[in-house]
Amino acid sequence: MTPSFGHALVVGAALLSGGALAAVWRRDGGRPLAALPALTGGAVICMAGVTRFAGAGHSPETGQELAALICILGLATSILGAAWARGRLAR
Amino acid sequence: MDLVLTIVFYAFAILAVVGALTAALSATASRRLVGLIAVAAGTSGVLFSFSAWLVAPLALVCLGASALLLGGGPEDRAAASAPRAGLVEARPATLVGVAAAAALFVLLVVVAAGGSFQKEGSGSAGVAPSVLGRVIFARDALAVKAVGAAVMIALAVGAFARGRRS
Repeated sequence: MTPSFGHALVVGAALLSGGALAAVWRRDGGRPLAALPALTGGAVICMAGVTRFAGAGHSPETGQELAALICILGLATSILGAAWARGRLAR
Repeated sequence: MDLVLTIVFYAFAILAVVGALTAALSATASRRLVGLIAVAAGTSGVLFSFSAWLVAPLALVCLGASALLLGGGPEDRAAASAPRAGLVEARPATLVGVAAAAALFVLLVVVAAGGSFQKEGSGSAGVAPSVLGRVIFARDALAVKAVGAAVMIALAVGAFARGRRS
């Protein structure tokens, strides 16, 4: 079964839903922040899938560029979240 | 997509999803860290199978660093010895959240598998996803990237300000 854009979207949806589950399952301390890598990964797979499977007619690298941007955005959010969680624990 | 990349796609997709579920449901910091690292490795492997040679290592580095930042924590040492609560003992708000996450997954799968993504944009709803995709990825691609970069800079400035205050 050759992967298609639909398969990429399903994997991305599973990761996004896993991230949402991580955010709601345990909400004490900084634990919901563990959702960030899964949410980022889901969005990145969907964006990269656009470049891999989209037809002609648009800039072919845009999906990968947005995927790279989302990766860095996820890392920045994680740094901010970790700083917030540690500041909250210190108080 | 050839056979090797197909196998790589499915193997790493399973690794990423299992890692996400492990990170979501595990009570201990070490298991959560392993789950988040599996998410990073799985996502990077899926991107590798898409021939995204630049984004795959970037995702491994960024998601791996996120996993190391968020995977553990001193508060988890006490939680590791606490009794484990299952779905039956969960609070009503948690149950609602779990149901919402499951509903989100079903909704996204229905949109991905049965929506106009697969029918080349013949959606009859108010906004066809393919039209939205053309706006985001073609017409206004530069604006979307600019908004993402602005959000990233705002987050970096927020992290810097927070670090200075504490």
